[in-house]
Amino acid sequence: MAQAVSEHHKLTESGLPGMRLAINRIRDLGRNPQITISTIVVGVALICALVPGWVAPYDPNKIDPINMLQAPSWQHPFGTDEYGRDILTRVIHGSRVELAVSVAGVVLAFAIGVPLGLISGWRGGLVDSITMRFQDALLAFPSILFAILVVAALGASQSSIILTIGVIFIPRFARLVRGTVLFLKEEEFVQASLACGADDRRILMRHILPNAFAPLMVQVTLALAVAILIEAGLSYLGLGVQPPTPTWGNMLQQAQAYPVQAPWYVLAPGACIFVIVLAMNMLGDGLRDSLDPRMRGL
Amino acid sequence: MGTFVLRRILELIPTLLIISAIVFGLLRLAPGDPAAMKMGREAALPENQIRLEELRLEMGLDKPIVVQYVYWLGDVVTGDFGESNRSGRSVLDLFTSRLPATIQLVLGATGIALLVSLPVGIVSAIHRGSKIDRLSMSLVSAGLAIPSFWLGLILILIFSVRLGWLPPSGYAPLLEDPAENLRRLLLPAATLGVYLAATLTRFLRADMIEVLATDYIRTARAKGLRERHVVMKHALKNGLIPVLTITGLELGALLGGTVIVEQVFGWSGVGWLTLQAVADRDYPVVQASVLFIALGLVLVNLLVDILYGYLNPRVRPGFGG
Repeated sequence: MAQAVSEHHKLTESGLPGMRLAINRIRDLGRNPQITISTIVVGVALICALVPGWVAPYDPNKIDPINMLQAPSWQHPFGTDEYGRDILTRVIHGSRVELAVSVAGVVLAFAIGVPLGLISGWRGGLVDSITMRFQDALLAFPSILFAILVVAALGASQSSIILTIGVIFIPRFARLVRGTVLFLKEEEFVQASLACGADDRRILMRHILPNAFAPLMVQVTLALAVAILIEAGLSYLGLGVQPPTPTWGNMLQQAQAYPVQAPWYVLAPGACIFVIVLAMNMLGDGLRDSLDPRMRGL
Repeated sequence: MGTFVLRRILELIPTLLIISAIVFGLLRLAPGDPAAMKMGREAALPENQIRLEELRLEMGLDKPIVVQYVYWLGDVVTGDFGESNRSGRSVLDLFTSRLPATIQLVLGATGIALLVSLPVGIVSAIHRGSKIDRLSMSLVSAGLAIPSFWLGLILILIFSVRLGWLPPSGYAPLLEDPAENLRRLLLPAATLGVYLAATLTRFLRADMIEVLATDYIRTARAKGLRERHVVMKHALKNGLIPVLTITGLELGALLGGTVIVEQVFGWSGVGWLTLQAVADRDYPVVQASVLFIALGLVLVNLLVDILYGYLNPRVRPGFGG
């Protein structure tokens, strides 16, 4: 009991209760099977994306006209495509674009959204009103439609999709952080450090931001899931990275042309999107349950 | 209530202005001279250069971008969305001719989602923790993660290619051939509805669990009312309010989803029109359809807000809360 009290005292004194609690809880995460399974799935996908050449059995662009549209076999577990290329190999290489684009987009959104939320929550006033109206406007576009608009303007390329995903998620991170700032602004530990003469920057970075750590981590994983769906959707529509570079989306677009000759063609690329998004969602839900018990069951 | 509605409408004005500025500005970043695109191939001919220059002046392209935006906004507000660069048809005509197909698809998807989520959500809440509950929650997780274009392709493979029950793609106008229209609607509407069904089931279940634990439900049970009556009459009424809000909020995802689903099933609605216009670089059409969809979304959200204020007086300002 006495230990618990002194522990509590130490936490409030350090001014980083959110951060400490979060770190303690990360140790518990391994006990949650949901988190363990989804971390393994994400790990496998990461390995595929980082070193596809080591994992994949063939060359993704090696054309083999004799073996066009082969059914799954021991040589080609997911069959071959319309150029005789191994579908398993192309799916493994496809993870690269998929993950690179979604991660880069979410990182961009984080890097802009978090400071924006901090400033607009802390300063309030005109800065806050302007950013909030901008965010309302951005939230009024269905994300895929906004993405189409950006691609129409800037052309179908990796960088325009990263930009799109970034812009789509800026409001979500900004709102989350702004909410935390508004909630904590009047708290005693913030007021106390203001009274001690700490400057805005120090208060925001040391005292307020760590409290947003847990919900931000949850938001990052959930945002990644949506980002993957957006990227895959765009490349399915032909607005993403163009063939012959394989992406799960453009493979599905090509597979759609052979429903009778090669029905198995659509299975592997779609299943990859499904499994990785499912894992990201599970990871997000699991993190939410473990890091922030107040949000449990929502 | 009147002031609440009025305030919400006034709040929309800056949002709408920013939306229109984003749509206008982004497509101005697109490469190419709008006047040359409007003229088409003839713009490259030397003898047409004078006419091209005149067209540029006529379209106000020599003015600063802000002035161009104000002109464009003036046209849009008076209902003039210009003509398609490809067909020369009025953009408004093109859009309204495609709108019924999209509205039908969205309504069909919402209908299917409600049909599935209401019973599943209620049963899961009542039998919380049971096998049925765990199964339906797994299906919900799957429904939230499955990409609609993949689901659509698989449904086509099963129901059109393998079983031959339903046509794989294409649209038939409702008024000309209602039976064919409904047959063709089934797969795309189901594909589009899965995400909404999963979201609704999740929220309805969570809400019903909360409501079923309240005092007034205990009172109703204590009065000796039959369980069926307690759930359907007393609990469901409060459980349904979030369903309304979520349906409104998810309409954006649904409208965005139509773009993909219409492409999978060759359903010639607004989403398909927009995609085609992007491929053709027919910017007036892209501009108008994106603007219309964003506008529609903002208006539906306004409607949901007002309806919510009507159903739940506590959120209205000046109502003590």
